[in-house]
Amino acid sequence: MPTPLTIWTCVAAATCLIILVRLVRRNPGRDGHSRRRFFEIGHEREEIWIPGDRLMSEIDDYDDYDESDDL
Amino acid sequence: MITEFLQDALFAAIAAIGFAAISDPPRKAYLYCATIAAAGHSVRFLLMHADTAGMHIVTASALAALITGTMAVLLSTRAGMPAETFLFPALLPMIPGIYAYKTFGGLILCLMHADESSFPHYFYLFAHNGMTCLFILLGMTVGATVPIFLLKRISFRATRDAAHHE
Amino acid sequence: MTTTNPTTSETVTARAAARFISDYACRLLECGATCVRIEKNVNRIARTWHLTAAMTITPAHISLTVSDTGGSDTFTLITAVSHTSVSYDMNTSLSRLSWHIADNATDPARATAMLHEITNRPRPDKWKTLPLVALANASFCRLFGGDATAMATVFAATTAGYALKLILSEAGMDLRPTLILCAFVSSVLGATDGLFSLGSTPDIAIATSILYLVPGIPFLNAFSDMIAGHYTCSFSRLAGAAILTCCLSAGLCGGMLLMGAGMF
Repeated sequence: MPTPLTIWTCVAAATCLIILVRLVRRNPGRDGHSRRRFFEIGHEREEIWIPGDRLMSEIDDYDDYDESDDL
Repeated sequence: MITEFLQDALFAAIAAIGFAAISDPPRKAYLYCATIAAAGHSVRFLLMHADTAGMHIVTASALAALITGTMAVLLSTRAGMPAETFLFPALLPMIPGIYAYKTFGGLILCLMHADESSFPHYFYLFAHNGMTCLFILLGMTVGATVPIFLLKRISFRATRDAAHHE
Repeated sequence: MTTTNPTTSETVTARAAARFISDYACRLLECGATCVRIEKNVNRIARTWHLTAAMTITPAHISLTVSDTGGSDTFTLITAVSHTSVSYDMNTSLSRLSWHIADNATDPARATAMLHEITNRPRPDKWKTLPLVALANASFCRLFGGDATAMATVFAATTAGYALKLILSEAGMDLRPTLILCAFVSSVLGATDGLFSLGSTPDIAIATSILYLVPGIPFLNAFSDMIAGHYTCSFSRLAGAAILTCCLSAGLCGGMLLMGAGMF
């Protein structure tokens, strides 16, 4: 059974570690490399895309894009 | 009493500067923010204090916001900024944050205590905190917005002179 | 059909005006302006170009119709709002831009260039605000009657929580889970006072340790829109602010539960 003291120690240590890592790796994403996103909300096409569907990058004109073309 | 009043004004000013920093105001706005937040919060302190007016938090917040709003509108032309640039950050120390999260705390406890004897108590906590929070916010916004609309000529032209100087 | 601007002798089409005005209104909404402010500034610009503008504002989109006085030249645009980050500095600059356009009869092309200049300005480093926010929350603790130990605890808890918020924002995490985590960390660290029996007001320390996360500006904007009669935007903003409050309450409840502290 974790005691409040154990939880406090874990949270304090983890937070210190995260802040220290951030301080060591100053300004991520400004050194020319793309930032690595740990969590982000993805596009629904990433979930339902199947091989053969058009890629978003291939769609030049959004106005004329018809979702039924992929069916 | 006077020491408490001055302390309230000082700490409200520091709180307003810090919370204003999150919403990225122009550098010049910090001073106005601190001044009107100190005035607003200390007036609310006086209005709520049992030795002076002993008002309810909702009424006191609305009246304090009215003073804050009037000061903000009158200073907006001098500052060359829209009134809300320093009015809204100055109101942040009066935001009922504790009532807000206690509302959701009460709701969670309602769900956890389904038996008929303890449920009404937690529902009371949820409703009381929620209503107080909403009415403080409503009172504050009405109080702060009334001067903006009453002094329309000033409040929506504040940035005009600054635009000329650019 | 086009409208002639008497000051500049240039023609301003509804199409050109609408493209600029919708961009302008979106940027203003993104930086946390109230609906009244957006409407006032947009109407000021439209009047300068002898056009009329009507808008529907929601937190995610702005639907704008611009037409000339006769109604023969009409253009409608629905523009998505990309991201919302309150900036009163930008709000002030954009309000000044509307007056600049009105007083100098600036044409849409020049106005667009000025808009881009304002929106492309580098935003201030959020890390510089960290000590100010921590100090503000410690002062807040004092306003609620906390002693010096409670203030120091809140200062440390806010520093850790706000630093975590900045790190998670940089990592691209959604605001809602970010708030849950930050509230949890701040409440656990805010319990230091009580856990080690350091001061006499540990309950105030834990209660005020998360107040820097309360979405004050969205709440004020929501009620301001309600008073101005923009009910759709008002209720949407209120729902957004309530969800954020719900998230921070969840983090706080978790922290309090694990640290054996009670909310009431």
